[in-house]
Amino acid sequence: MSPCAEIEKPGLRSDSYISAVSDSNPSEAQDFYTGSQVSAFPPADHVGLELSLIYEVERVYVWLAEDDNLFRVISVVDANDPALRDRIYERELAIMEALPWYDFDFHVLPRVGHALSELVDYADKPAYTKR
Amino acid sequence: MVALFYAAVHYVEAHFAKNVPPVHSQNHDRRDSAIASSKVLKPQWKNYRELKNQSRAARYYAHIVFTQADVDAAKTRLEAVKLVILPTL
Repeated sequence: MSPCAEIEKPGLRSDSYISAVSDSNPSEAQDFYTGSQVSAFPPADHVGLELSLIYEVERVYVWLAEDDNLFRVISVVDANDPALRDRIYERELAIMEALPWYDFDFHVLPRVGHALSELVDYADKPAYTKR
Repeated sequence: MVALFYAAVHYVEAHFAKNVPPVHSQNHDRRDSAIASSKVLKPQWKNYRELKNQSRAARYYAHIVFTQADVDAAKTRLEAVKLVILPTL
């Protein structure tokens, strides 16, 4: 199964709302996304955007499960760093609070220097990629 | 790592089982949502999530090497979860 979102640039898609985020400073972007209870964006985009606010997150993969109520989400980082993962977990919680009608299966995958293609078979279809 | 995570799962399930009526999560995803919406357990989200992440990494990602320090850190996270849950049982 392929990820359901395709977001390509840092900040992320070429849509105007995405550009607005990428052009703003990080604190503005964060306030924009974490302050609301209802996301103005498609859920998969919201997930990718929220997690991409963490600098060390290199890619985010988002799949919508077959029952349309569950998102499987993998955040790829390089370092195997629990403090970094804690920051990602905080963003995951913010996503769950913003999209309470969905369930989520989050995972953080540290590459630890490996090429992502060595580790997973879906490496070419991220929802978010940092360039 | 796997055992530590599943110990946490059982503590969390024990906590939800004290609800009236008792609640049991059908799967990990539903349990995560329940934790995120629980006033008692939400502050433990990061500890629980790290246990879950490390458990999955131990099972499925051979490139990640675990040390005794990693195991000790996971034990500390489990203790934090237990500390919050035990008074509620």
